[in-house]
Amino acid sequence: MHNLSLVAFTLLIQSAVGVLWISLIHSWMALSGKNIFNHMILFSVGLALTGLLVALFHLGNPKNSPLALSNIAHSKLSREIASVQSFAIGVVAIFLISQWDTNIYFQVGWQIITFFLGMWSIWAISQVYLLKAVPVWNHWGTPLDFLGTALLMGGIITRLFQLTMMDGYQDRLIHHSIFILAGGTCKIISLIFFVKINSSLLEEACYFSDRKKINDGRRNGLWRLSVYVSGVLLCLLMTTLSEGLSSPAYFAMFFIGTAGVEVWNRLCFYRIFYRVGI
Amino acid sequence: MKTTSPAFFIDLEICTGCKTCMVACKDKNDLAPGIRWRRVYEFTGGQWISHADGTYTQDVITYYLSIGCNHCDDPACVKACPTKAMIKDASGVVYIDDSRCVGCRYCEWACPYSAPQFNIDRGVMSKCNFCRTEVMEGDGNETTPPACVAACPTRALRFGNYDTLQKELDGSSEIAPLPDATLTSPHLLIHPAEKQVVALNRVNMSKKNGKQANGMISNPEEVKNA
Repeated sequence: MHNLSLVAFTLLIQSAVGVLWISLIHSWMALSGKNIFNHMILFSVGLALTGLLVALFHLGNPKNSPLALSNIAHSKLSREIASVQSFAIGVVAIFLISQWDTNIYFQVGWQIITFFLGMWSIWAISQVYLLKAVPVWNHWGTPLDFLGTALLMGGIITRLFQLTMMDGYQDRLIHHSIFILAGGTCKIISLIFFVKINSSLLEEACYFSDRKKINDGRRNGLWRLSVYVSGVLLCLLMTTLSEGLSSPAYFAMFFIGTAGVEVWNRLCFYRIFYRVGI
Repeated sequence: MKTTSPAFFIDLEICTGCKTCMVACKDKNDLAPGIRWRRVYEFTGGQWISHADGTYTQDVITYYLSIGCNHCDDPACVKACPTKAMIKDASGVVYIDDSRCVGCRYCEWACPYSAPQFNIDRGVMSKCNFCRTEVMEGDGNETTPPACVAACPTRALRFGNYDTLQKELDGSSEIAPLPDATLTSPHLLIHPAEKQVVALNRVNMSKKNGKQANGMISNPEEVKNA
């Protein structure tokens, strides 16, 4: 339960950030209508709030959770919570503001602020895992992995919305493919980091018990890498044969498959946990 | 007499690995099954070495490491804790104010010595507090030792002020399988037996230096966290 709740929290928040980013970019470039924009922002609100709620399940004593911002000066976890809460407030505010006929500059200004709050959230979530004592997480692969999830899931979810809502912009596949492929590329680069770090740790590991754990982590990284490479190749193939990705049914299958792989990837991320020491 | 900057000292030459310290800690603090603030690691290592004349010798080592919280100078758990439940007090003891603990277990990830442990029944973290009340205040004018130190039948486990112990005794906090001491600057001094000196420095043991150790913790099930 401890890890499942963390997996759900990270994936939901990163997906919420991705959906918001892509919706905002589409809105600023006038690539999507107001109706679909509102729906996607509302969906992002749902993802962010569900993520925050799910995070409470991994706490042993949730009634103390209001104290979690007490150590913001030193604790990366405090900063993560602050960033995610700010993002959630920002995205709720975007939705509320969009319901009223407010000044466009105010709307866009708030959207830009929330766009950056999303960036801060992704950065702060990844920082939590950059622990000196846990070398298998403490590298650039971790923030890249989380950024990859945001772009990948954000791209897929917004595309699915466009296809199912049929608001006349369904031909904008290319814009989604860019995000999806960028996300996939981040994932692949991050997994190369994971494999490389495990290989170098294996060189330096002193003890048999350490080497066994690190070797398992490296093997796991290679599996994950091969799955994502296959996914990106599949996406490229389907984009070329664009009929595949224009059909809601095909795309829904693609979404389910990718979401499943993301959950598996994140479970593996926690499973390779290897801390120096005892 | 108050003890400040408290530290543990372990003399591996006389530690027999009897685990009385572990039991005394559990008993004194009434710890639930699975929670071990002090654990005794059995580290074994070494191998057969072939020589040019066709003979073989061995460099096998075995020793017992009794490890609790090291009340580090730069405690990773205190920095990690989001609620400020993990506190390093003025005398240098790191303890948990469990009325503030949220049970996120982040300190458990951050500490390379597995000192903070999760109490499933209460949903909060728990850890060695150096028998804080007794050690800091004593029962009169004299400092009472922590339960683990008091119970050690061979006096292999001792405690005192870190600087004083460093001056008076020969010890290091870098011995296999402990992590690099620069991570948290632990208040722990270990005096190895002569044969174990070879295991003192992880870096010297690494493949990079042409020598790879095959040491391992031989009682992982016994010392793993709940």
